[in-house]
Amino acid sequence: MQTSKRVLLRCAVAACALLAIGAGAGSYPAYLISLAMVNVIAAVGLNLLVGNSGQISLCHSSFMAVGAYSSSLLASTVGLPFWASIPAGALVAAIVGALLGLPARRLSGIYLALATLGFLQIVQIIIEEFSDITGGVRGLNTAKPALLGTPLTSYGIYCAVTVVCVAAVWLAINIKRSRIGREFDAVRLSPHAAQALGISVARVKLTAFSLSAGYAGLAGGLFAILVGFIDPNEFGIGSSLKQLTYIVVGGLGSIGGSVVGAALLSGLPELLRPIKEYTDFAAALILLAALLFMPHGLAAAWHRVTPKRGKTTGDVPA
Amino acid sequence: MSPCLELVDVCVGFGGVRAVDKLGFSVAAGQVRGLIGPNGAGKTTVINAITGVVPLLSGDILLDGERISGLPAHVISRKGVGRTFQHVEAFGELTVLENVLIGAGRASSAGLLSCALALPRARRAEKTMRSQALAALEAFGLLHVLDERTSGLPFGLLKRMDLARSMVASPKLLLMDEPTSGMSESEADSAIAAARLLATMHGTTLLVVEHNMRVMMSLAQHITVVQFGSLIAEGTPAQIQANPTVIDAYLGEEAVDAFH
Amino acid sequence: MQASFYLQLAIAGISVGSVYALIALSIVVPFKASGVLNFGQGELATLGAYAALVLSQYGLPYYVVAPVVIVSGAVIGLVMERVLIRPIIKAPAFTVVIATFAIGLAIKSAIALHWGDTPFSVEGPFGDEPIVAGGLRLNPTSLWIVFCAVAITALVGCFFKYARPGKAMRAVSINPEAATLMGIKVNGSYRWAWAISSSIGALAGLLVAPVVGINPEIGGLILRGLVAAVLGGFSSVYGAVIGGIAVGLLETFAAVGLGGTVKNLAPFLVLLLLLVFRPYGLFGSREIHRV
Repeated sequence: MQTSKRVLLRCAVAACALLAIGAGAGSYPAYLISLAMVNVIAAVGLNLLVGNSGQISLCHSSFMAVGAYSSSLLASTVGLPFWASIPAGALVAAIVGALLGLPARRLSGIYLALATLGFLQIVQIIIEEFSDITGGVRGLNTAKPALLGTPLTSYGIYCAVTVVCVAAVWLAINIKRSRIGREFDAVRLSPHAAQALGISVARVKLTAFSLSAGYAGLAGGLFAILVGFIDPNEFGIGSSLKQLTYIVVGGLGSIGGSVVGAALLSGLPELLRPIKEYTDFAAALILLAALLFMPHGLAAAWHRVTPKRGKTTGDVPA
Repeated sequence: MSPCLELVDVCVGFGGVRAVDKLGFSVAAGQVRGLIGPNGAGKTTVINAITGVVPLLSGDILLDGERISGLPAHVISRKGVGRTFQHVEAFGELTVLENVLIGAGRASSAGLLSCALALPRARRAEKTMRSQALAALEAFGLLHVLDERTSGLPFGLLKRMDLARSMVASPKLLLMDEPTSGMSESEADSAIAAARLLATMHGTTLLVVEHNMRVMMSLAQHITVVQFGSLIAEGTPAQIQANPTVIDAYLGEEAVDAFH
Repeated sequence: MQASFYLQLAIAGISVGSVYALIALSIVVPFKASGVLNFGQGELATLGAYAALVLSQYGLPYYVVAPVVIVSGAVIGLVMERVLIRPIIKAPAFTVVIATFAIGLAIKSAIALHWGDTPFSVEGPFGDEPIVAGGLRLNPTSLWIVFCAVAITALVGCFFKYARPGKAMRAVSINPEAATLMGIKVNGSYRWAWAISSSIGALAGLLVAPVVGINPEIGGLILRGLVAAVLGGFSSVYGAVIGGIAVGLLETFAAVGLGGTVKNLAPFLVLLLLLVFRPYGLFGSREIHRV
């Protein structure tokens, strides 16, 4: 079977499995899985930027905030239903990502890290200062999502999150297998060779920034309706750092790694909720341990253990 | 008919040093032109100037009569200028096939949306790029290392990959920076033969920088000699070998032995 | 009347800027020496402040507390370098940046765990009574901060210029391979760099404690310190200090002239603008690699 069809099939199967699990599990476990899936979306987007196209970003959570606030505000002011407001929020985030990406594509390494850090601070300050719109430090309540007038049940929200998550992962797999994905890697590995082969390094960097911001915005919008409330503290430097943990532990450049890393490490905040202060400490320690002992992440360890297969992008597409 | 490549009074410099000084020459379409000169003569700089990696202080570079100097490097590449690198600049983590596929990327017009949704358009483009890449790999005898990561492969093999990668998109002009360094004699001969064949098939003009005089003399139809960034001689291989200015420039260089 | 108001404002700005300058200094030194940008440097200031708290709770006088804080800062820096940074120094820039961030977060959350969020207040070494001189009311703590910053900068500058380890560090930062060939121990250089920078960081925390109180958020200073370092060109000791003072002045005058929002936003907007147009700062040179 054609590889792209095989990928689609596997994603469909995964979606069905997740939907079945959600139906059988209690509402709290389903909620936790939804949270994990939201983190997966954000992690997958971040890995495309950091792992594949090699750009440091410390402001991923800011794009989640943009997505969360804009989808929520679109729903409450214009009355957009959730299935329109969330993609719209993602689009807004992607546009903001492109705006940051424009100056950022001329920077790399430490200077890019600093610029994204500066952007994160600016977004935090804007959220706090324009509190009439954003609710400031007190946060913002989100409208309950509804389909054709009836509010969604918690399982309904779970289904929505599942569908979006699987679709987002499917899109990422396709992108990674295509020319676009290869160009991301090319720009990271050797910008000079990439240029000589006709690749516009600036454009690739901009695309990567915008794309990952869109993923973050999508995750942010879903997170907002899942929790029912937007707390600006959820979108600070700690959150960006956690997302970087997910992809470093999972494996930079690996979509599977992003999924596993995000899913595994998502459980932590909930497990430690009673003693919430420990989550930052634990996250920092895990990240350090991962960097010291597994610099290439779980994905690399997995490849070492499983039998070696061809590294090509798959069978010849029909 | 305008020449494929034309340099007019090109000057390139960094911080007061002139790497290339009022250099001018032209290469007719389909020709194989050699570019030689003692070490430090500025040959790689000339290549970097043509490909747009370094800016010109003054002068013009024309491709098929169209001015390309001053354009961004990737734009120049898309206009049909390919190059190989002295040190290969392979995409280390990627496989040999993936490296060459990236070279074939120009064939694809499928955008982000088509690729993300795996639309038929994107799949067809992928198929085309793949067959182009496989053909190029076959020409350079690399099919057996398709799926190997380039990091860790022998240098000579990587040089062949670089050739395949730069030729897969059938450029109008290919700039080769020491293509046979690191290759054994037989490896060099078959690589050059393959490059020549592909160039003839696609009408590619070649500009070759080579230190291996044996290869250069048999490959090039016409040779341009530079020293200290300036032109000192031009002619057929036979004329160059007999040119006293050229021999003078190489005095003390190992290469002078290759002449005789 | 007007003049003295602006003068006092300027002094306040210089004082604030001095703290930023010290943080900037503590960032630039290891960066110059080993190419590592230590994002955890802010938390070393937090550590310094809390160390001062602990020591003063034992009733130790300031002239004992200060050196102890400086020395323990150096020790922590050495430990950090050996245990956490040295193993990954060969990793790509990204990995090391994230590691330093993680170290900083670990320190901050450990502190928050033990002491909680409640701020502690501590008195400055010369009390809080303003000194009245020439029609100006000057806060002695502010003056002390400026004095220390100037003294430290001079010391560091002399160290790099005249002291053997300092000259060795400069050699390593220019060309590590050549330095090794000349018999300079590169690892030793890194150790000095981290010891110096963490002790400066800890000192900065000690100095700023009477002004902002002791709380886990002191580490936020690093952001202003980074802006200062970028302004100063990132590889220049004196640039870092001037950058710090500039940021302090900018912030102080902006707060008065334009209000709270702009005051908070200003440093980061400046940072972004700088990074886009002049990443080599006002004093550095065009070394940034841009594709």
